[in-house]
Amino acid sequence: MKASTVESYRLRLWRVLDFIQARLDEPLPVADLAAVACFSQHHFHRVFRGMVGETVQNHVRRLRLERAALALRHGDSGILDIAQDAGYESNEAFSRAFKQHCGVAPSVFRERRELSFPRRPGAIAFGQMPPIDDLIVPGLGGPLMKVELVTRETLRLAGLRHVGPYNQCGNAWEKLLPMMGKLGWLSGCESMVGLCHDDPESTPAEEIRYDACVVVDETFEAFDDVTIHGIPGGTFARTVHVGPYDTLNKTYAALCGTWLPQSGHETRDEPAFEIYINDPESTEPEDLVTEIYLPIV
Amino acid sequence: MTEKIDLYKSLKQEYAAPKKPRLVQTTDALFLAITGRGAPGGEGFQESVAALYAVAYTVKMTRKADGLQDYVICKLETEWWGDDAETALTDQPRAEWNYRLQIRTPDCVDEAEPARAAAALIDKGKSPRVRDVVFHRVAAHQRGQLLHVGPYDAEGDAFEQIRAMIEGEGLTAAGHPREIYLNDPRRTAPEKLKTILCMPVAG
Repeated sequence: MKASTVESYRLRLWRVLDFIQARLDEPLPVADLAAVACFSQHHFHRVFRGMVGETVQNHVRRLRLERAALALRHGDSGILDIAQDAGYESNEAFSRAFKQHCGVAPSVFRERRELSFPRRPGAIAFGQMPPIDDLIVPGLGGPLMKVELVTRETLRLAGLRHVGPYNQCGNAWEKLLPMMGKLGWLSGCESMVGLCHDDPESTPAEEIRYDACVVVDETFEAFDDVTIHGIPGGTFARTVHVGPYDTLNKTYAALCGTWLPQSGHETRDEPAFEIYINDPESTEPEDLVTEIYLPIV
Repeated sequence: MTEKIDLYKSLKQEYAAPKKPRLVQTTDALFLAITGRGAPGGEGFQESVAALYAVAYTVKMTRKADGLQDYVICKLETEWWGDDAETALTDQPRAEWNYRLQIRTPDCVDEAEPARAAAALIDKGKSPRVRDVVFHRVAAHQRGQLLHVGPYDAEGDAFEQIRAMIEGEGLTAAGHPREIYLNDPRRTAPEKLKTILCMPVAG
């Protein structure tokens, strides 16, 4: 473990947490948050999720709701004003979100003074940003997973873009593989690559961009909707995920939130990618093997 | 579109994986296959595996592109034999073992399809070994089989158990032993490897 990088990641995380607490009235675009924390936008979501234990979006939403609960209890603003301060355009949307966290509607919460807004265990609450030395980073307490550092040549990929829910990425594969297979581009061995441009946990489902890709050489030319992607060569942190694809997020969280800060490495400003080692059609979900490559320096 | 064929699942009887050896009746089977010579797991062997999978997936995906019957790619199987039929295979040098790698394939596939797939693959710079992938048919027969869990080089004892079971039934073992790999040796600890071992019965 390299103390200096752990401290650097802690400091950067503290800065972004502090920034969020002070600006809950602002839109807080991811680009700004990533910049405050000096993280590549490609990896910020996963580093945050891995270290903090909740996604950036959930963190911000929770703080805004906690602040709204205080306003309901101790202030005299109308519920619609409080809803708008919390970033909700309608009473209904606010009520729904509030109820999901608290179990009761905002109006009920206001009336019944014995109710308290539930705290997220171990999480920083609204208005209670600790000094940096007291910041507890849940991710840093997790066990270190097995990660290898590997050097890879530049990868040339032919890919088909999927935009939508992560669990429907298979649709892109259903189209891409017959097109590429007929042309003779499937070698059958470790050549199926997934580029996930957005963290599925932190991105609205309909906006998740994912490229289903097959490794090709320089003779491949783009056709129809199949486009060429280059993954620059360099050093990668590689870990192996065994199990269904819908639990990949846990492995990413451990890689980016626990291993990375303690590794002495920084990420490069390139997307992570996945190599699918076996065939999901003929393999039981618990036996699926996926290699995750995180570009680092 | 008709439903996707999954032979490994629909032929459960034939792919039975009992802990103790058992007799199993197979049906006529079509495979995509490639033969070679050399130690299991060696470089030539790996190249053969890669060539076989490349053709198998290219045939499947080309059919899918053309709107033909789709199917799930079956498990990899290997038959082994030595040049000297009188000596036990394990007593012959591994570098001289002969193998036929094979993937069971539905018989809706046409014999011209693997050749077309190989041509497409070679056009894209893949190994010329893909040209050696051909049809291989195995007639319905009876065989003894069991599930072996553990490293490949500990299979000798399991094959002996199958042979003893066959002889106990008053039958004779004949033909090449066959392995059916249920998991991937590159990704599985040797003690967790699951392999169905088969020994045909004379007959």
